[in-house]
Amino acid sequence: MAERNNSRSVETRRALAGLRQIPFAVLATLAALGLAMGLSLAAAPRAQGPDVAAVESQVTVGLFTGKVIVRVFGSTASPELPVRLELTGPPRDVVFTESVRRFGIKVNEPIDGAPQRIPSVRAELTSTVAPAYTSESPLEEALMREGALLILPGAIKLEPTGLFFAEIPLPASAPPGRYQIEIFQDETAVDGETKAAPVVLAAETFQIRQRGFVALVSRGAKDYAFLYGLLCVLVALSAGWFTERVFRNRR
Amino acid sequence: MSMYLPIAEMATNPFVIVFFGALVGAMSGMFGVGGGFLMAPILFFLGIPPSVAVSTEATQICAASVSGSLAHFRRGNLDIKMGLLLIAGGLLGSTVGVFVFRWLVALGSVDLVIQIFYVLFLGGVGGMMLVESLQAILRRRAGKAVSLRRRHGFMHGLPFRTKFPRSKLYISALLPITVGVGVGFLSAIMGVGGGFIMVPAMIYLLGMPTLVVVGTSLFTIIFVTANNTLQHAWFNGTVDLVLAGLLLLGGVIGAQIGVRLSGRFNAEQLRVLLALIVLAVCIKILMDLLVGGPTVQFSFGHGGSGHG
Repeated sequence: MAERNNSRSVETRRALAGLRQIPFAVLATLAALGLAMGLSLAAAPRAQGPDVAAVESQVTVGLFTGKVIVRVFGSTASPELPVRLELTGPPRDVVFTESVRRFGIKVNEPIDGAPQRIPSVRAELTSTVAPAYTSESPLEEALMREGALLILPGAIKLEPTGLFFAEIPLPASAPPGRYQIEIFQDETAVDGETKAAPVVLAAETFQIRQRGFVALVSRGAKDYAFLYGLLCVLVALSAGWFTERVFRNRR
Repeated sequence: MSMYLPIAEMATNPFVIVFFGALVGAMSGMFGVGGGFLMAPILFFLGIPPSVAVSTEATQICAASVSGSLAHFRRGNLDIKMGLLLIAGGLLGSTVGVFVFRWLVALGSVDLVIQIFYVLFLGGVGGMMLVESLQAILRRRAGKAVSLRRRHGFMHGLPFRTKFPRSKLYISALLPITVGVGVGFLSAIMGVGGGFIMVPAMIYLLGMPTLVVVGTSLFTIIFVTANNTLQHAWFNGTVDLVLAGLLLLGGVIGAQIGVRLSGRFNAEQLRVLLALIVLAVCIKILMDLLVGGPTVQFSFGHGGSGHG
């Protein structure tokens, strides 16, 4: 009995030693995939197969980065149902104001009861094509005008096989931070009746981070504010002096 | 092509920024104004958060002023003694102005006060300059001598009189200090370098020759805007070095072009041009105040904004 136990523990040790040979990254990936599949199955109990989605986990912005476009891929076991995606950016303090007339002059006054903290960016994408969305809320209208709220009907390409793909063009002012993406399927489209609450296909987060020179400037301005200010003044003085010299020699 | 601005936290078209930087820089070299009263609305229009726009344009104006004032200095159009007295007054005035600004912020009416100040000063200064310079042009065409300077009022009888050889003046040192205090105060309230107020004040109140006024005004603006840049970076963290670099690239080149262009016009023509630009901005702000229906706007805390 003791021998059998010993040989088992030797086998276990060998197995563990063998596992150690496999790169940790591969194990981590497999574990993450297993977890994702499990979560997807649990989230979509009615589906015949797994509903999965993949989002780039990290987006970095450098000096010559243009508009950030987030790409989302996924599949659903119920391609007959429309897919809906919601993106929420990091929250920011906000002040909503309205122009009112005082003695004939337009004056901006804060709007009572308006939210004071909202997501810096919000996007709603659907797989169903619908007429262009027009909001009746003046606050929502202002956000849409400046790209802080994106309503994009038909922006999710849903294939009959169940594969879907979407591109979310974030506004130029999308700040760095943690963004959340949730993908739903509304159970209203099968026969026009509401059957149940929306089913979450996937909930993912990704980060927008600054890199390289951009990150250096950003950190410098925050951590060494006085020195950064002096540097800015120095840059201005030397740029002015340098240009004058260049132009003087050409005169 | 687009470029990412680390402090404004947004991507923008660098060529558009360089172009407008050059345009405002050319005005700076021609007229001796910093151009802040023009650059701020342009940057707001391009979607740059207002706090970042106002702070960063100070850096650009500083560089353009160095470039412009050096060019004027080499042409003998800079009165350093006068400039130093204006700077001394300016620092005093801007300190008081910063306190008044905070008080207005606490009252919640700072936006309206700034707009009304803009309309009053741009309208008053622009109108006065336009009428005077048109009269001067007409007098010149009629063959009469243009006697803009050397009007002696009670101000020229003040004590502490000193010689300003470059400006060919013998006036009280209190006069440029007082002008500096006024300009510094208004520049703190209005968030600009103050050139568009300083230039007419130097011409009409101090009686300085227009060509010396431009160089001296730019010299003074260097110190005002360098101080603004440092303060904004230190206390507000709103100076964007990449945006400043783009504005500088356009601004310094534009300033040199402006200095060359200024040689092609006589003093009265330059004043008419500046007066027309100042009045155009004044009318734009006045229309914003009076015309248009109610609109909802929003502004995020530092790092994002929206203007309806």
